[in-house]
Amino acid sequence: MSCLPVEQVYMYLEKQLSAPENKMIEKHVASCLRCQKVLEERKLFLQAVESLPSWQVPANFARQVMENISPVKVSLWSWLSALAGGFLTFIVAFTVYILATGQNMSSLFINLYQTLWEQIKNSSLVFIKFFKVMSAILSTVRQLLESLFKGLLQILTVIKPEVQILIIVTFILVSFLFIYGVRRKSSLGEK
Amino acid sequence: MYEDKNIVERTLSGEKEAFELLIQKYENPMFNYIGRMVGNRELALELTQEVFLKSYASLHSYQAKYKFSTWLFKIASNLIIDYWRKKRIPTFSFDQQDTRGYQRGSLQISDKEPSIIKKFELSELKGRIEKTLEKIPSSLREMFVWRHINELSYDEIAEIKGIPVGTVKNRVFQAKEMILQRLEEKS
Repeated sequence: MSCLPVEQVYMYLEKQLSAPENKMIEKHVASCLRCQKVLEERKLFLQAVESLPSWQVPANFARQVMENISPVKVSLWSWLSALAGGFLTFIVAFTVYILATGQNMSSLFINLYQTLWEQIKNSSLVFIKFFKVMSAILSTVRQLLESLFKGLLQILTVIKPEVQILIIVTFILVSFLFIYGVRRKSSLGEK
Repeated sequence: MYEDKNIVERTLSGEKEAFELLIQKYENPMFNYIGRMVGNRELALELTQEVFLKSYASLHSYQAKYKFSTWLFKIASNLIIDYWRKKRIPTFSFDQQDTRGYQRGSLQISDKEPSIIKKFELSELKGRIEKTLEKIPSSLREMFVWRHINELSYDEIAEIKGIPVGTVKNRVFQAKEMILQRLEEKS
């Protein structure tokens, strides 16, 4: 019989073979010095590997992880199910209410419509006020920017063209470095 | 295994603190795996923590038909690959890796020379194995660590990586022989 493949020797040592296969290997090894050596060497190697020192986390590791844990994410499906459930409950409760009180449906809907219309009118007034304030703020900002632009134009008439180019190049360079720095900082491993 | 699934159910039903039991159970196996993959204690701790944070955040996607440890190691393996990609460390496949001088089953065994393993005391041998382990290709190292340090079965490793069991056995074998061959070269 030819010598055993090394892969099979490992499988024997790791108890991955069937009983007949084990017997066959043991029988061969008993009469083959070369395979005895292969087996002995791999056995010692596996023993050394299995006794390699274990890496241990600090004692309070689990607690630290728990402190950094954020709530479990709820899937979109769960949200939709909850929403559908809520809506169905509302419909059922509404139907039961109508049946129990014996109310006229049309008068109930008219009341509901009137209440909603009042709410819309009130909220429209608030929106109009909000837009007025926003337009006033925007007009002030526009005036400020115009003044700033005029001021810059006046400065540019005083400064020489070479200096103007130098300022523009420096500005572009600083902007580029800033964007590059932010990107590096926000990537993983820069924490 | 059954216990893990119960703990997952308890965590998902709102008992957040139950998850700490899973962390305590898997923190050292995970640290041993990640530590040997990245070779740096501080980084390994950071990544181990991230594995547990990620697993907690996506716990609802865990399927009880799989072992929890398998699912956890899959998250860890993907996290390490992502980390290497972001740090632009090559994440090479086995075919592209440095397998210089290695030919399957080519380790020469002389009948006269003492065994390479027998040349060293056990403590020295262990140190040399650790150092050699750092230098073998990551795809072989990963499977070797799972099999011989985390003591996962070949079937579990195949499930984590989504590859046939035969491929896993072959890669673990290649890892072991490559370590032995490199030990021989250095001695």
